[in-house]
Amino acid sequence: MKRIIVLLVVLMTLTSLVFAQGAAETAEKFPTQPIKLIVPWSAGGGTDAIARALAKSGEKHLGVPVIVENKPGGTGALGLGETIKAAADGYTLAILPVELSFLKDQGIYPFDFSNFTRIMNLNTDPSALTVKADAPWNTLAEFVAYAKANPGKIKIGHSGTGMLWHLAAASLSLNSNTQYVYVPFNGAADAIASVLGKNIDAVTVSGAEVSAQVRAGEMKILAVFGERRMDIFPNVPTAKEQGFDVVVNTFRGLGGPVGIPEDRVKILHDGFKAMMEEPEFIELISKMGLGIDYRSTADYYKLTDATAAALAPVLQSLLKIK
Amino acid sequence: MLGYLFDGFFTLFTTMAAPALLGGVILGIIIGVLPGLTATMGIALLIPLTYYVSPSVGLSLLVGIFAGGIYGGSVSAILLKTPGTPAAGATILDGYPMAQNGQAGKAIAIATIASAIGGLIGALILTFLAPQIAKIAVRFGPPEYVLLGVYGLTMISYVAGKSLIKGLFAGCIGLLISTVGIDPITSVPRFSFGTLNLLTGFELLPILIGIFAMSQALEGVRDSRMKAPEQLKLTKIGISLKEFFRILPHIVKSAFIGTFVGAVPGTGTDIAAFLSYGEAKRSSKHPEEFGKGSIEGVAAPEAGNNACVNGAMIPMFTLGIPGEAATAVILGGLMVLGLQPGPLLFVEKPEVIYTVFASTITSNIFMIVLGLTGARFFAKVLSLPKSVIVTFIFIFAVLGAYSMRNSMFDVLVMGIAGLLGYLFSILDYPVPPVLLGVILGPLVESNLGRTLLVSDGNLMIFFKRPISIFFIVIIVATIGQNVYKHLKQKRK
Amino acid sequence: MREKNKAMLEIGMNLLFCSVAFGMYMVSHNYDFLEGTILGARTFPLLIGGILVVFAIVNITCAVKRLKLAKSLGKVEAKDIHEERVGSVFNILIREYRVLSAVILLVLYFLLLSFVGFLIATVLLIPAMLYLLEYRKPLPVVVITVLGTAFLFTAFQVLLGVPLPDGLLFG
Repeated sequence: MKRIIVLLVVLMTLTSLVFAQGAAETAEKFPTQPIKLIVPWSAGGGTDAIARALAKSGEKHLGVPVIVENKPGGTGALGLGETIKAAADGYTLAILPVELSFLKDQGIYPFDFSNFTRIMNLNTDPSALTVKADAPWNTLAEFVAYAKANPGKIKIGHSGTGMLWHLAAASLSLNSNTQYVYVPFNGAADAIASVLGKNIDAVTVSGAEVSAQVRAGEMKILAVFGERRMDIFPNVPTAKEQGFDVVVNTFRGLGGPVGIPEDRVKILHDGFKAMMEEPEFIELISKMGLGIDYRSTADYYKLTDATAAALAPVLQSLLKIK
Repeated sequence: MLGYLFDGFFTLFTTMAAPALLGGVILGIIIGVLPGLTATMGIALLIPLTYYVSPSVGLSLLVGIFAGGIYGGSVSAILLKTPGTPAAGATILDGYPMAQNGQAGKAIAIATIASAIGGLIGALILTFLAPQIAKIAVRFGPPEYVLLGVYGLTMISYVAGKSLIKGLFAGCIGLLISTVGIDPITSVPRFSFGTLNLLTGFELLPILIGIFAMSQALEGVRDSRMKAPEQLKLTKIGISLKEFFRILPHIVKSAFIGTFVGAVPGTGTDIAAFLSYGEAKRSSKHPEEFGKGSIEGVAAPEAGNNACVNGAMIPMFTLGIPGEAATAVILGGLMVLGLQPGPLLFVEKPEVIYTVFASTITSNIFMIVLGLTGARFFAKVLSLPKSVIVTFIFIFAVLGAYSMRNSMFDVLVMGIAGLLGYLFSILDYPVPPVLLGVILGPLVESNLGRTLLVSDGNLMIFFKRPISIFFIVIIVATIGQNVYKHLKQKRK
Repeated sequence: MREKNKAMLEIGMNLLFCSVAFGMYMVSHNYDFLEGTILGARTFPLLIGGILVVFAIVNITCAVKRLKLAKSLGKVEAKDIHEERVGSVFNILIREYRVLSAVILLVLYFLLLSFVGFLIATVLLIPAMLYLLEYRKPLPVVVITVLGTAFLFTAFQVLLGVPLPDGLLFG
């Protein structure tokens, strides 16, 4: 008898649980539940900062909270892979890194931009050739001249073989006909620390990542690898101005799995655009030295397609070295 | 500087910062106790809350979670052999045996005292010597990291138990596990077989939970056949003055080790704990007690990992470079709060920095009060029937592995690690070397690659740098001492 | 466990890891070295794998020695536990193979977690595991099951907002 009672209790608990879980049903309106924004890197980096700064005003503009979720691992592959697998209902989005344009060719990502619904571009940051403040070079020309005289002597740090900052260094090598030793680090911060400790000579990470050091006078930027100068360092010339055609930008965009309905893409686009226009967002992001670069859905598609083409020769040169 | 610090304390106790800090420590302890929820995760979860308060209040909260989280991990490590955070991996080695001897409350009390004193020393170093330590820390280049890692691997000789060969074998398994994933130098996906989960490599925590908690619970199932006493008797909680003075030198030494390991970017609390444990065993007058419930073996790693918490904030504040994973998250939080960490922060926002320093110091005082009050209650967990404890360890192990990254794959890894750990315990193979291998493998491998790139393939670089020569000397000394001891034992 | 079985198991485990190391060696053949150096994705696995095999050989040699010793002594160790064999066949079976049963339960738990989520899976696992561990008083079992599940769910998902497995059925 006792056993039967126990069994009944267990069964009742079970059924009630089933109903409790099934109760949350969806309605027609979008969005009605929180939006998950996957950051495929660990908390604390530039991508994470952008996502969190956006999410601050998420509820105001979309009516539902935007929840940032960090999914680091496999240089972004894990979080992006999860995004692809998610339902294409617009409730799971991710910050898409520039690396989607070229890591598939290197066999690291099993996917590229074509596996995502691209919504909009959020930010662009140029690579910046940065050295320690007391380094003997003051211009890109001096740096290149030294590199020409001492091939393979200058060590340039970046944040991972095959990642964008490596391509930036390789692009400099290709365009100035110089040789460097590339030293991969586990993220930009470690590479910067290594320059500070004089273990390597330069880094080609983004201008935003070195901005704290540069402002404090610990490091100096020799050239910005962007189309135009950075807002926080208006005195630092671009590589183009100094006669070297090196342009390498990272960009971070918003996207989700393939197949998000167009009307939802529109709602998300408008919502996130409004978040980007919040004065607080602009102030925060600018303070970090990160560049805000809104591009519409159509332009974002163009940008992602063009980048792959633009980086092809650099990638070719790297693969040849291998 | 003292004036700033005084202002910092003033701000801390006249604003909401002190309650936030207290709340942070409590929440941190809860997060730390629950397996799989690390301090890093706790901080990431709470960062959105800090948007709505002033920077000093928000940062006090984060500092509290960080300190409480690293400390809290020791409680479940001691009671259930389930490490709440990777930092508690070394605490298990003596904490769990102590609890099994009926000294659970005492073990927690020691962990609390050691954490608080270690943390306090770390906080004082952070407050008064941060810029100086940071200058030394950046001198740490790839060659030094390699040697730090190798020195860490020599700790295998202290945790290997009876057979050094078995320990080294286990260490190799750990190192091999760490090679799965993207190669740090060439970015080649190794042993991934096209799957994303393997491409990412194995996380430490599921392995840690598996080989300790899961295997322990399986042993519990096996032993439940024997009619062992269903409950553990609890003895008194307090520690005597004599015992306190016995652990004090180890706490102080570990605090310095931990602070420095923290200050060096790229190494974290887990390494600090193991190095402190090894050093304590090396210098202890009773090395034979280690592994069987030595109070020194509980105190040293706890002092080390909590000091590391503060050490990790040194490069974060002075250079804008995180000392380890959790500080990377805090750093991100700082930026979203509109503060740019780096050399200029001391000039631009001294009031915020010194409030944070004041809260790192105060957090240890909160911790000791909370911990010593809680020890009694925490230890009560063990008065539950053993079969209930075992059942819940299984569930904890599964949840802990899962919630790290919301991944069923990690649960699978945990399960396999658990079976391996069980096999090891049957065959009397030591498991801690596996952990050392997993923790230190990437550090050694990636930096060896970097060293050779930086030096153009010349290994002589190791002998040309003062810090690396220092490490070579202590590595040789450690190995020499062990070989000598081994030979002496054999002659007997 | 008897000395002989233990030695056999030890040999088996060492061989297993040797084969893992060998497998890694074979796979890593595809990975290139960095130009002109001994550096590359395969260097470290090869090095560690090689060292592991050396230690494994030492371990196996020791185990074989003990195996021979155990055989030459030919002593049959007494069974360490005597237990009354009462109850149903099922009861005897799960008692004999208790660890195996626990592992099977956990595999089922793993599968259930993936399909029906944390709540149902845990509500099922707790009584089953307690039954296996011979904790069978009905009322406490129900109380522990309900309170334990509720506590974990509240702590992780409600208070800290850490998602628990929700399963395919309801996800």
